[in-house]
Amino acid sequence: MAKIIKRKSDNLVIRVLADDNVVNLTSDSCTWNDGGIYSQDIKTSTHEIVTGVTAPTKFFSGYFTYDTDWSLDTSSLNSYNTMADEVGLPRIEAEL
Amino acid sequence: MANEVKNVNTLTTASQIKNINTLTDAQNKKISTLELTGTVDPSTIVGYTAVEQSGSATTDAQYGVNMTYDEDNNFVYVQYALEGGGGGAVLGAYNSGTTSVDFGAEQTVESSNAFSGNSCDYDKYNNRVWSAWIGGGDNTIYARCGRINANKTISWGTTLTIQGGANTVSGKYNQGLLHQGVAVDQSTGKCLVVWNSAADNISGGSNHHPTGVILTIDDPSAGDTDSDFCDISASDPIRMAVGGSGQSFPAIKCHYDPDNTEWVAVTDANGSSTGIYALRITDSSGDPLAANQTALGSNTSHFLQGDGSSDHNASKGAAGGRYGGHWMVYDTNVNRFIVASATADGSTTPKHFAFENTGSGITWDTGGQAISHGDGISGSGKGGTMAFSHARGRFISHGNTGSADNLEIFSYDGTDFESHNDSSLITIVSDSNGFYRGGASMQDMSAFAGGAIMVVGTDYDSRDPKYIIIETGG
Repeated sequence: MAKIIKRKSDNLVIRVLADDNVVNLTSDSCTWNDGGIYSQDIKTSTHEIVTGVTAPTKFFSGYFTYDTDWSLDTSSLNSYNTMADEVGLPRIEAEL
Repeated sequence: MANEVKNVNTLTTASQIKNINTLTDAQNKKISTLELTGTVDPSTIVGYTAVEQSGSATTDAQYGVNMTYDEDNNFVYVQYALEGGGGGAVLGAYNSGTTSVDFGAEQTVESSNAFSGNSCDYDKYNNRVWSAWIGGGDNTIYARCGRINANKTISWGTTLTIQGGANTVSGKYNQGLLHQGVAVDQSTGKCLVVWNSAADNISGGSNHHPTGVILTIDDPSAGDTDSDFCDISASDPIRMAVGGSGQSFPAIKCHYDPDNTEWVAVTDANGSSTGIYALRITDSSGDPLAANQTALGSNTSHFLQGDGSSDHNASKGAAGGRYGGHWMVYDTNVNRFIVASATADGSTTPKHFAFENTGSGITWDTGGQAISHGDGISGSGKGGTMAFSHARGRFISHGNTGSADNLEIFSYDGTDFESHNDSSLITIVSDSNGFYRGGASMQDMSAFAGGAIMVVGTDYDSRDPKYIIIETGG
């Protein structure tokens, strides 16, 4: 199982982390990886942590939402990957 | 090579001779056959090393890493796309004891989606860092400005949407921000961003004219706790060059010109023709104004990313063509820009070319300097970058041979180029795709590591950001 950080307003999932990952979500900021990564944009007023979630096969932030189940925005993903193919960038891989 | 001339007549070169006639020591290269200018030999200070977050190698940099230098804190700022989405940055201080960089915790710049084409520059006027990238769910161009703190954290302002992508301009899914799309006017603190705007289409979903906006901080005096801290605004977007049948998939990259206190860009957009062009970009009542777009002459086999027959089809590059990082440096020693070419005929060796911005026009030196380091180009791990050593008045570029990524050190005296190690290239890494789509600081980082410069790149296989610190000698 995993824990996720998700945005409250639209259930957009920001991170999928291992259950034992140390996450500290406060009113000002959020850290994960035991303080190794810091975000001033993620805070208790806008985001929440959900535990006991089954992670998707391949996660990439920005294309998945999670309420009680996962949803993948394939339209946006395909839009990015079309550009990536044209300019020679590695594709983003995401899969439910 | 180190200095071989110890005395001229009875005067020591180290302390008593500053000029010979009117030429400084940096401009006098040799007396007879003896090396005069070199006082430090080229060397690798820090070899191929992982960028870290709080002491651990970061596993990020999905598709490109970039950097700048904060002279106020004597930190390097390194930004990259995060594994799992979004973009992040770390700040690092050089540790002369361990000859490595001590990085702080990773700060997110963007929490989700892509962080591609990421470009950045340091703003010495406002003591801020500026970043721009392609992200969001529809390839939007974003920018953000923040203040670097002494504890290796960043206080960011609100992210600004410069130009929405496919959800804003239906069907226009591609916007080209190309790793050197941000440059700060150090005399005003205004930030230029150049890219291919979806709102100014040539044809199809991905072919757009090169465009620019000038960003400004709304209230530079706002403090951390103010709601508008580091909020930024954009000018009107203005077309900087005209794409077309000559190069329907054009490119543009920019740099600040401190001598003329304006910006300069290079592009390959010129209507029904293409090539290498330089142009001035000035601040016209808050909007960017392009002027004096001037072609490099007499070098018809040289381009920036391709010959226009098939978009970015160059097969060789002095700094990676479409897949490289920075294509341009400003040589403060001679007040010239140096730009890296790419070639598409399969045989022509790419070169570096110099041009001068006089403040009223562009003058090219069509001679150029062929590179000896690798010239491989590919989206799967080959494409170098350029960097300038303000401390030594020399510049570098690197590229891949197919089995190794090699670095070459050059100088330009205003008339002639010189390669300082074409017969003894520095091997960054013996790998076919170990150090690509990177960057270097456009700011003077002489104080960081005793005059050495840092260069970043991405290891394609692991997608991890790497760095090197190089003493260019001089």
